[in-house]
Amino acid sequence: MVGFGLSKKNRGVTYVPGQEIYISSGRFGWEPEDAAVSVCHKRILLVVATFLLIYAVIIWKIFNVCLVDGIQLHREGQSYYRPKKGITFPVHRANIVDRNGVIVATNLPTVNLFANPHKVTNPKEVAEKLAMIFTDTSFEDFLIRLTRNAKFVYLHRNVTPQQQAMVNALGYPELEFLPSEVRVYPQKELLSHVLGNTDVDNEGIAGLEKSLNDRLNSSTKDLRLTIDLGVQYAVRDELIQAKEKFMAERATAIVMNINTSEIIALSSVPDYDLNKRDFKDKDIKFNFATLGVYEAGSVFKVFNTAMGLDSGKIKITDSFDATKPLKMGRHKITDFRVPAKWLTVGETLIHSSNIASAQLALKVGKKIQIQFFKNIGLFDKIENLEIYERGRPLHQSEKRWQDDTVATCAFGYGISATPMHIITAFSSILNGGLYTPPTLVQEAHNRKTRRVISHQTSMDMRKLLRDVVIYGSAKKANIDGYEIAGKTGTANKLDENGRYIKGKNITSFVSAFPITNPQYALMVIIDSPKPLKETYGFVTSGWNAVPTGANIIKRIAPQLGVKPNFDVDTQRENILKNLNKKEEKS
Amino acid sequence: MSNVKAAISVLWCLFAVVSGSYYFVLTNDVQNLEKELAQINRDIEKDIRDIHILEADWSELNNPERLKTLAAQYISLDFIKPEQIINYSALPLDGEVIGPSSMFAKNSKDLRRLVSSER
Repeated sequence: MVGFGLSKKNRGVTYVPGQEIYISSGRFGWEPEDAAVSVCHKRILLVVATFLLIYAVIIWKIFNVCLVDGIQLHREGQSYYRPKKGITFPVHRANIVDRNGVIVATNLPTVNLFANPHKVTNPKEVAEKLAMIFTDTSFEDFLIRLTRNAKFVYLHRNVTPQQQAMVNALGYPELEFLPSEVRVYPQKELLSHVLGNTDVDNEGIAGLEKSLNDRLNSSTKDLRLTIDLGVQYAVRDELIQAKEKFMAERATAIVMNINTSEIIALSSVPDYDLNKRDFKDKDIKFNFATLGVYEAGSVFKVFNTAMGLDSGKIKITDSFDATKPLKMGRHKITDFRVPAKWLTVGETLIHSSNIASAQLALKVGKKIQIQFFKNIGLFDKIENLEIYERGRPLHQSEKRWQDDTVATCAFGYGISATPMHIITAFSSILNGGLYTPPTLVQEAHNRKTRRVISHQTSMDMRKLLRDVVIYGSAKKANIDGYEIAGKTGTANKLDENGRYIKGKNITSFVSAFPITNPQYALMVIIDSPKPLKETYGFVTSGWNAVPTGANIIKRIAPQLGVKPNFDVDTQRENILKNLNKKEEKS
Repeated sequence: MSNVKAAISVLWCLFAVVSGSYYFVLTNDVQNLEKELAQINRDIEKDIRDIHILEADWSELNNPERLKTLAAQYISLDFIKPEQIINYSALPLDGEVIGPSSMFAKNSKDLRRLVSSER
């Protein structure tokens, strides 16, 4: 650079920028002797300062990009390379699994197709092409949605990966996808009444899905049920067969662990495929097991007898006069095919005598009867049962509970309860006398057990009910080896107005096995069975509910690990029989 | 003295440059590792999602109705009957011939005791 405005001695010498500052005085600064030189110095300083500032900004920016931005992005999580400290579970609603861990309800990740109709330039063309991809939605439906005056419309929910690829291939940028989840039930109709369902927003609308909605949404930990899927299938399969065979309107069954009140299986047919979400037919959605309040008939004689024996007012050796109908005011209590004689307590159950049962109840009295029914849970909704659909028993108010009510309740009329009430109460009678509220969920901890009858009464009841199967109305359930005890019940069906429907019955069979050490209770209810040739025109429980119950027990007992009780000789005979059969087959 | 000061300044500058460079390289390494970690986590998430879907699929494949149909089609298995379940103690001993004429079980106190204890 040529020095401009420098002193004469320094003219013609080349300097680097800034060097001239030192030339005039030999020290930092310059002589203000020459105004032009001073201006030049100032300009040079300005340039240097500007460059320094630019360098500083660049350094600061580099520093920011390398360090500060990285930390910032890490914090805000906006970068694609956001470091993830943990793993996010792919879905937000917990699985429901059976007691062995088999999934019965789960959420699957999916996408929903949506659009902003204002951005769609050619709705007809888009609707036409979408209708070709989504065959379950019509062209008109798509067109209506695409021409709606809105900024956001769902075009199709739960798009499959193939459909998503096809939509993307159409090349319309206005069609977008939103990540979502869909509730799927891999076992279809197998647990329909237990699980219930969810709506499109994955909120429970029935069954356990509704009652445990908060639990399922707040944690992704599996919700483990007490249901055993294998047993559930066997029960449902037998119910379907029974419903078809007896041309019944409905068939229901519950299997319960008699000691813990855990529900092992609960099925009511007809049922429905949960994945189809077709709720038009309300009848198939009706969960009779927990919601069906009905007059159970003679199965109440189990409670009546237990009440009498436990009260101390009745001895097992007592007899009752069943030679003639019992008059209660204007009404007469009669028996169906019961020998007209004095009946012991055991015979009362074996022959299912209404007359003798009513006498027993009248001897015990109103006060004890009401208290006993309260104790075994027949006056309230089932305590703590997780399912949303729970029926409340129907009965007379305590003020109107007169002798005729005492007498009719003895054989299961004048009081209605759900099958769940009955099997829970039945379990408490046979398990040693302890009532435990039933549960469908293994993590239920708020159940309180209480004593309802003495251990001795329970032991007596086991013997009496075993006799009903050996000698009484439940003979068809006397399966060798499983030592079943139980009680049948046939009651007239009531219509919606509370009047009895002529010719229609609801038959019940409540049982426990093996009675020497009861482990499981089973209740079967057949709604309006028809008389068949093989039932000799009868529609009572012993001809339909009992054989159905026996078939169920035959199938589920090996699954539940209940060993048949045969002596050694019988077992060895069985070995030979099985070997012979095998030889014949081969 | 001024030389010492200059030397100290140079050393400080050198230290600043070296430490700055080291910090830069270290930060860069950490960022790369974080990217790698993020990728691994995304892969794990994808695997978890795939497993989750496969578990649902497995559950559907194990639907008892389907298994029953397959069993009927490919294997000749039927439901277990009570008489097919035998206690271990009821099995014949080595060399023992069981049959209607054999009264071994009735005469064997040990076997009877075993059977009763099983109950």
